[in-house]
Amino acid sequence: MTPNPEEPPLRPRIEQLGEKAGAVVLVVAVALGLLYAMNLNEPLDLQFMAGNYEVLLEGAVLSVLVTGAAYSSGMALGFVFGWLRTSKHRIPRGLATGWVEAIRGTPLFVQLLFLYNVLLYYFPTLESRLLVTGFLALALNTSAYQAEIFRAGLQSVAAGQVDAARSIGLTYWGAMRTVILPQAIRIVVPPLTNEGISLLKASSLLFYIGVQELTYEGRILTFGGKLVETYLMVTAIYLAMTVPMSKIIAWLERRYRIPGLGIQQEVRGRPARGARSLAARVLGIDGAGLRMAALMVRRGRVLIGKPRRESRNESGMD
Amino acid sequence: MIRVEGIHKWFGTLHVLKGISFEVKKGDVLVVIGPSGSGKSTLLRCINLLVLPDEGRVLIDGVQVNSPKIRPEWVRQQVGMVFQQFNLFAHLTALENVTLGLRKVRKVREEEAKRKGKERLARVGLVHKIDAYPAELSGGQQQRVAIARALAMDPKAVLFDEPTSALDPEFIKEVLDVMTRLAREGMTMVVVSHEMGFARNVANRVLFMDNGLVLEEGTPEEVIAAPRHERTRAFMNKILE
Repeated sequence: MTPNPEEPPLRPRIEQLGEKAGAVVLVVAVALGLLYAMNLNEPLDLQFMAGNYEVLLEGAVLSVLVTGAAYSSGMALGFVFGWLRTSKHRIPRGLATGWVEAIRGTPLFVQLLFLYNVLLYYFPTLESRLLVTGFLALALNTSAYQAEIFRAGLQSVAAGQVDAARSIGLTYWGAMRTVILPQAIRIVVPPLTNEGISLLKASSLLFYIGVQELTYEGRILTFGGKLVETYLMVTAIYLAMTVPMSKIIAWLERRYRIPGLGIQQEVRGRPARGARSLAARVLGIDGAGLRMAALMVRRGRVLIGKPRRESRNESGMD
Repeated sequence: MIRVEGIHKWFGTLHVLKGISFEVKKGDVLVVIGPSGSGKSTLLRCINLLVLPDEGRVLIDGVQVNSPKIRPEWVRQQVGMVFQQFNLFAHLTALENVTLGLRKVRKVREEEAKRKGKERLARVGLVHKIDAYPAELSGGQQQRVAIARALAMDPKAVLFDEPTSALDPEFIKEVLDVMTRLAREGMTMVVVSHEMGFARNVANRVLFMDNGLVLEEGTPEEVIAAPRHERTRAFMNKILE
């Protein structure tokens, strides 16, 4: 293989750009940290950090527990609301839509304060009030967002799929279970992950009502005067939780991709480990992407993904 | 085998079917033609109750099936359907598409379903594609898988809703060949299609629909070559140009 001087220049690889941008941010951050550490008047107190991180980890555990519980309860509720939003009947659809609008149209912080006072008013003797309030606020909030995700997922499965499922004798629920849900889930997983990550971050608001989660513990620590050290640790712990989450889901997505469907990425040479195009990432994650995917499905085109197996390329048409 | 008596269907205020009656005997191939919007697809969907007729009766082997006493799921197992847009399950391989009904509706054991599925795919000439996903198949191949899927349930009759009109011209023949073979094997078929060659060579009866009514019914020679009705004649002229 001799290099060909005539060969046109390769197009820039967006995914490389994305990774580079991330790397740049990291490097700048590290440099800033070093600069600060080298400020001899006030170096980073590493001893303080080593001595106090465990309290923060305990807070992080509570963050994860509250978020996890709220996320899964919110998912059950959100699925029902999302499904109702696809209903033919006006009343259930209207109720679900009202719920989604009310939650999405108000700040989570206000919902939290509102719920806190409502519970205080009606259940003045409630046990572990703080935790219950925090859990409920997060669960109710995420249920509305997840409802929207499920609605979009369900609606993006082509109507013809339902016809076909029923034409072989499946019942409504049979078609739901074996045809609609398996397809909708693949569409819904990326935005659901995104919502999970958002919720974990949003759980930091619970510090305000006194739930002793990560941010709360961090704030208590800052009373010792080591602000930068403390928030550096808090930030790092949040990152250490959110980044693996998105990686795991990215892996799941690849694993359950439907071969031949989706935006076909160009694979040049060996793809970078875990690299996905920025476009696909945006498409996979935000609402606009979801709507676009839904649109494509409705046009009878494709939904997610591309197979990793090269051999699929030849077997496409004949 | 299939008898339709005085079927009416309204979508809102739109009167789509205005009293349709016909009969399909065992082994018959009935081709339904007519301008778009004349209610052909709705009529087909009324037969397997994907659309419930508002008035009239649908009888299969003498039993009225559009009745609250009969589960529509049971009816749809008796009468297979092939769609214009194929509608293969996008997340399943060709073989899984064909066996889904056996596994989930008939509760057939896995190996038995697979054996039968492979046999049906062989009948449409696609044994080598059993592990391919729909998006990896050409339109013609997808439609042949869809036919195999309908056949897997051992239906008494198969309904075809414009099976070739979403296909590129190069793939039409392979689908028509499969359908012709099926007809020769004695399958009862109701086909909505504008493939006049197929209607001439394979159908034993042709039905011309316009505006929710049956205008003309007869042998292919009568309806295609010598239509009596003015509208039929105009339609044939347009189509055969």
